[in-house]
Amino acid sequence: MTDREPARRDASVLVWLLAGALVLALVAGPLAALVVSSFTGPEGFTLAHYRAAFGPAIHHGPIVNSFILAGAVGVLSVGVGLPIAWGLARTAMPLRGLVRALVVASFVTPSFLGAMAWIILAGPNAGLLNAAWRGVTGSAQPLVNIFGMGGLIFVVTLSAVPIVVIMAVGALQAVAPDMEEAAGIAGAGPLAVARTVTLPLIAPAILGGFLLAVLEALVVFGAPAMIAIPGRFHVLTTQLWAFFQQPPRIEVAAAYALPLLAVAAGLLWLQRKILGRRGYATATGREGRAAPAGGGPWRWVAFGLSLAYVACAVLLPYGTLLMAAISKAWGQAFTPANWTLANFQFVLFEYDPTRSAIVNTVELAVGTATAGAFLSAALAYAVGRRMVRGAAILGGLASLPLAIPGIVLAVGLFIVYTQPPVVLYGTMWLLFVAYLTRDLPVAYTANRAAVFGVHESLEDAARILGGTRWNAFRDVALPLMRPGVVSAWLLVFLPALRELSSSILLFTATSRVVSVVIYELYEEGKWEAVATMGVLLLALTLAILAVAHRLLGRRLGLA
Amino acid sequence: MRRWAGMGLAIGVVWVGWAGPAAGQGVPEAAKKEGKVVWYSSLALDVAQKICNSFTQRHPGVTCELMRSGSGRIFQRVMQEAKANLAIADVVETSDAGHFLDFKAQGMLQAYEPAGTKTMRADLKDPEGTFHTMRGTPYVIAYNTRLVPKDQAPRKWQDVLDPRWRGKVAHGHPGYSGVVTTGMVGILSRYGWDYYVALAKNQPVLGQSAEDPPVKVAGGEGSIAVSGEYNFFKSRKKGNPVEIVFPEDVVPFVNSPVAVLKRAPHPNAAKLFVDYLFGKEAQQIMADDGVTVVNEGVTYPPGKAHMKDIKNLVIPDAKEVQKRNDEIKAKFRELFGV
Repeated sequence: MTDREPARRDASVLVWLLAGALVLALVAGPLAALVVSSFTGPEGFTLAHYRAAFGPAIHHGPIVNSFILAGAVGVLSVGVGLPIAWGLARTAMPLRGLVRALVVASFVTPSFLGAMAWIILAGPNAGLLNAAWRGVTGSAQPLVNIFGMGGLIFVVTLSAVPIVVIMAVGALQAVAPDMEEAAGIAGAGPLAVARTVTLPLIAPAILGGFLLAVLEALVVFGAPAMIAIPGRFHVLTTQLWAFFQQPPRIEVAAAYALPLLAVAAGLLWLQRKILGRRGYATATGREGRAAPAGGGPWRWVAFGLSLAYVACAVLLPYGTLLMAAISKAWGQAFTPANWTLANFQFVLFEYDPTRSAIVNTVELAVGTATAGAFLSAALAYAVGRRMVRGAAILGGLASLPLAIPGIVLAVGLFIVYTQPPVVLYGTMWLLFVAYLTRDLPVAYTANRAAVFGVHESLEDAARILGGTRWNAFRDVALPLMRPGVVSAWLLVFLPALRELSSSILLFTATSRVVSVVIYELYEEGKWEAVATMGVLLLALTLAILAVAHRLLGRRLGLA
Repeated sequence: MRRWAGMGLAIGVVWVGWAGPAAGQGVPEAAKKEGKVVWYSSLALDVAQKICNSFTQRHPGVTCELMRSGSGRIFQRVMQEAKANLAIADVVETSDAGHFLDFKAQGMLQAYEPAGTKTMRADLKDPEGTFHTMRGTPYVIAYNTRLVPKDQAPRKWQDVLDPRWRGKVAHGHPGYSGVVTTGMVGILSRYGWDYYVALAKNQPVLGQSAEDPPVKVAGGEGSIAVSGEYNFFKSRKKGNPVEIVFPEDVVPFVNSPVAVLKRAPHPNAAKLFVDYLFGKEAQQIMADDGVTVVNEGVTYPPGKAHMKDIKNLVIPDAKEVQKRNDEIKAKFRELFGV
């Protein structure tokens, strides 16, 4: 597309240069530190770390396992998430509000908390479901054994489905209903409309969601730590964690993680190639919000799937956690004699780290969400409009942190920010930078899909009338991108509440966050307290979302 | 490596009691000027918190900042901070004695003799005085009383290998736990790797930290479990159906040393704090919770076995733990797959 920029310099381009420089510093810094350290030995350049990482046959299995996990989770998440999103945004499926809220509840749950609940439910020897099965059938064998690849795929999929749902719903709400209505008028049934009109229109969001689900499965740590190790297998992240046990072999871990980075970069490049061909712009300035059109009998399929999902992802696990939270000792029978509120008292009033952790977590989540949403909106705009040379590379760079497991990114950040010129260790800023870097790609993907939906003609109109680029961005594009910006905000805010893998390496006594507190309690074997904090985390998040919903109303989109 | 017999007898008899610092001593001005002490500890959080708080009450003007984490992560953290030239921690305490030899080798520890430890047993402290054992835990077997009748419970380590426990033994992982590593050193010295080859055949339910087996056995996911006694004791006190067995053949003792870092930013406060840790008050706080401490003058809660009543208690030598660390992790990985 030819650039119709007027001959005079548009000073507001500086804003984008600044955004670009910031992203470069945020992402390139730790990445460079990692790459350098993977090739640096005591005597300079060396390949010894790569040999140590990939030589032993025992290190190959985890790579294969991770890719199996990622592929399965990606496919299943889309298979489950897409119908739910369609049900929420395009049909008159019952209980839509409740399903929305519960999907968000699942999104907020740290993966290891869900894993813990499912171990209580489906552990082969003492799992509640298995005990019930044995009671009913008299069999000695369990119904399900959570300690295996199947169990891990199941638990990680439960965490990844909300990503797909949020992205797909965001996209569905940004798409004008004209074409679908036209197809309906022409005689197509709801399924045919969905398949031939809606689906292609939101393809970028689906692809984006699939990729994010795959990458989430590649870098997740909490659930595999709890399920894979008793299941006698490793995935990439648990193997990386093993490299950090004493003696810590950080350079080997960096070497082990870098090929993962290459693969993810490849996946992201592929996504961009696929996106490039078609024009998805449907925001023509005359749209109304797509009203749920019924969906015919298919809405019951969507409803059934939604119910099954929320039961597995929220109701069963939190029910179990609540049971543990009010038990004096969860090894005892669940009878009123064993009920107590002492765990809540301990966690809220007696356990010192809790309160400061809650404050820290909320501050960090709000701060990084706001900064991330706007930074990535500006960046997505700059890349989508090809404003600076090499903008596409910048876009790629912004997406890279997705590929880096939180632990490894934390090491890179640790190396960069514990030395001059910028020493952030011991302050909350280090966590802020970590979260921002981790979640920039997700926000960027959401905004990028939104930018695609805004046709350039609208902004050109603004500039022909004398506005600068900045005017065009702030007054025309941004409002039209709002669902994308809002979903970007959510996609950064919600995971920030549960982020563990970077926080665990970077926190100090004054910068604890809730997920670290939960993990520390788990490490101490205080499962009742862990369950209590999990329940409280959920309550806190839903409260914040309720407030946000009240303030922003329907514009919040999902919640 | 063959000191077991002598140590086993001696340790059961002689725990040295000593007088701690008298209550109400004045706060040394230097410590007050520094204002705080930063303590990295792997002690159970609520106990560590209590000690921190009562230290500050006892010595107003010196706050105690606690960083509680697993032994492995504390080691990681201290090493990382040292490498980055960050001086943050003052006092370090973990359940892995091998770590302290590593710290010492890197010149990171300050020699300091806490008040009253002059007459401490030689195998509980470093000959150059850079670290001293403050507490420890016996490595034992436990079983779920609802699933296992008392007469079928294991009595010694060999009983754990019985096929009836296939898939039902909860066990930690030496890669993530100093307690498990040290316990394994104790058992290896007695039975060698054949023991663990046989254990692998019994397909234990593996966890990471030493706190995982107690949770699994409380819930019944493991019928029996192997770990440090402290967490089993706590679990039983809470009301879980757990009973502890001190194996008849050998009971390894996992000791937890304490040290002051050479680059401690608050050296005087650190020394004051370490004195406090070995004093009667702090030791009793730990004992009240069921932690086995070095001070013989404390009173334990009912149901807690006293050190002198445990037969065949042995302390694996710190040098051996350090030397065999890599071997244990590698062999474990080979035998158990993770």
